[in-house]
Amino acid sequence: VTPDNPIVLLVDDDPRVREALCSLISSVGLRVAAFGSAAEFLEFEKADAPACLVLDLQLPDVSGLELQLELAGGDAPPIVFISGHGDVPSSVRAMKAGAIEFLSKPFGEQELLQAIDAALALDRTARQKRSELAELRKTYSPHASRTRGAPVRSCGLRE
Amino acid sequence: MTPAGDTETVNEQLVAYTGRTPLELKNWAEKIHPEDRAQVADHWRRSLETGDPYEADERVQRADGVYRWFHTRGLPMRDAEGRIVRWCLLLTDVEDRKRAEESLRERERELSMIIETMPGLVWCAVPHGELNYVNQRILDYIGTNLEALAQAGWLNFLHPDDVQPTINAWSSAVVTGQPHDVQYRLRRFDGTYRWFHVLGQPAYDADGHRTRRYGLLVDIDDRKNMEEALRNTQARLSRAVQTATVGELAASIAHEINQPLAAVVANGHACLRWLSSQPPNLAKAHEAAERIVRDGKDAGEVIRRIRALFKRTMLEKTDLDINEIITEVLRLTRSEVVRRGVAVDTELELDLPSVAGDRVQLQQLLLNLLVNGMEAMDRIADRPKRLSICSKQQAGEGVLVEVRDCGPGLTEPDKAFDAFFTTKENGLGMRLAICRSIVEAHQGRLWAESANGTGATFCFTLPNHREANGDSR
Repeated sequence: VTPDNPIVLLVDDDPRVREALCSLISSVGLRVAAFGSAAEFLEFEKADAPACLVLDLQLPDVSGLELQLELAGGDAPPIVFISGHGDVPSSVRAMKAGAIEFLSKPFGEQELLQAIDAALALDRTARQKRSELAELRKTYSPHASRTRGAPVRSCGLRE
Repeated sequence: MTPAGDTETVNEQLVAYTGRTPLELKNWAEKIHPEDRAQVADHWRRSLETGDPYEADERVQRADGVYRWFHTRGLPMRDAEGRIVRWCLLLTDVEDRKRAEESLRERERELSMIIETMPGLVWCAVPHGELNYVNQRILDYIGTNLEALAQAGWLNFLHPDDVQPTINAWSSAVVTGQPHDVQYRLRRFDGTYRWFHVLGQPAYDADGHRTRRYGLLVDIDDRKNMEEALRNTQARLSRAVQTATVGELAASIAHEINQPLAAVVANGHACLRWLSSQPPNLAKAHEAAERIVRDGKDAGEVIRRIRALFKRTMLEKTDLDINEIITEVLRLTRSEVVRRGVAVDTELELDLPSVAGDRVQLQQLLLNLLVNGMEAMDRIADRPKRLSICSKQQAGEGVLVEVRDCGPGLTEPDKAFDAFFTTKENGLGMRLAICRSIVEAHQGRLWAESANGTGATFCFTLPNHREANGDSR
């Protein structure tokens, strides 16, 4: 168990797959939160911890690829795609848009857990960079220099 | 007239008509129209020589100079020895009759011109079928004359495959006295067959007896060939669509099986991990093992349903009341309806014609549509969940059944039957594809309608019993 308490976010519309993957992921000591649709996932308040998104390609509301596009550019966690009928064009699009891995169901635990590990590692690095950048901004912004010593709220890159 | 042909006496009518005195009428020939003079003189001379009765039509000039047609008959009067003693001639004014005959001939010429020049083949037959007239176009087309045609029989010029249907149509038209309407291939003079559309019409005399049957043949060979080409194209298209559907179905089946299989594999790995953790987590391992059993059964169920889907030949059609099937399925689903908090209302038309169908398949069809409608409303919280089922007779299409929900509706109703397409979280993407295959196996139609976000309506038609039998020869 890693000390930074990472979390795996799982979006799949099939309850059987959700249950099974939750059990498997939690059996290796990772936290997991599961959602049946993109909307449910978007409503969920994200924890301040390294994360990875295990995303099914076919969702009832929007497709996994659409969700990937929607999240692109923000601080969203890296994505591992899973699919019941992964076609070549979809997997190419997913990988080009920055997905870590594209797994066709049924897949072995090694493939999934390795992809999750890689995704979490990537997110840790990204989080580290973001926090360093925020620190620099805090130090060198004109506002910060005038109010030196006063408590400053941490702010995201996008604000 | 004297036996030598000279005028003896004339009556007053003739004097009044010609405006000539009896004496002047000795030279009667000059009152005859110049064109008729030679013929009259000729006839008259012959009668005088032979003693045969005289008979001729000629124009005689009236007092005002106008010529009118007369029919003249002359008989010789003989003495005891048989010698001609005198000729008596009777002139009858036939001008009006002549005019009527002339106009009749004119009309006949016109009519015959119309019939011979119209771009169709025309015939006329006596009521039991013998031809008594065909126009020149028919003779030109088949390359024979009327006698040869009558002798060979017109059926001999038909394509062998079309003879019996034509005889049937003709006989039933003759029995009922109705017009007849058939299509057959007629052999041309060069041996090729062309399609004709034949319309026949009975004609009656003043007493209402059928006297004739008139027929018109129109060459529709080019149209037929075009129709045939269209049909071939349609058949090819439909085969292409079927092939595409098979591909889609295969992908859909793969998805249906991969889902539980993925769960089984992940649960198996999880089970092993819970068992090998320190200390082993037996409760979690047990849960995972139970899910393996459940999902394995699920995959088996998918296979069973797919096999059922492809067992089309098992269709056992009987005479069914669709309302009865709707009621049965509603009874079967009552607990599910209550559990989901759905209100079902029905509007079933009484005395619907029966449909020819497989009871189990039609139950499956309605069950799928009901469950589909209920699932579409699962997430509705702001309004009552209403499901309406209505059945009615549809002119020309047999029986129509509609299942209407008030869920989110369909953005693309036409895609609803594609094997993957589902808007439901737990939806089996194949359910509607199965519905469609059931309806099509019954020669019906299934389609979806959706009016801007106020629910979806799934409609299907089934031909009624008689029509379905006609189709399934």
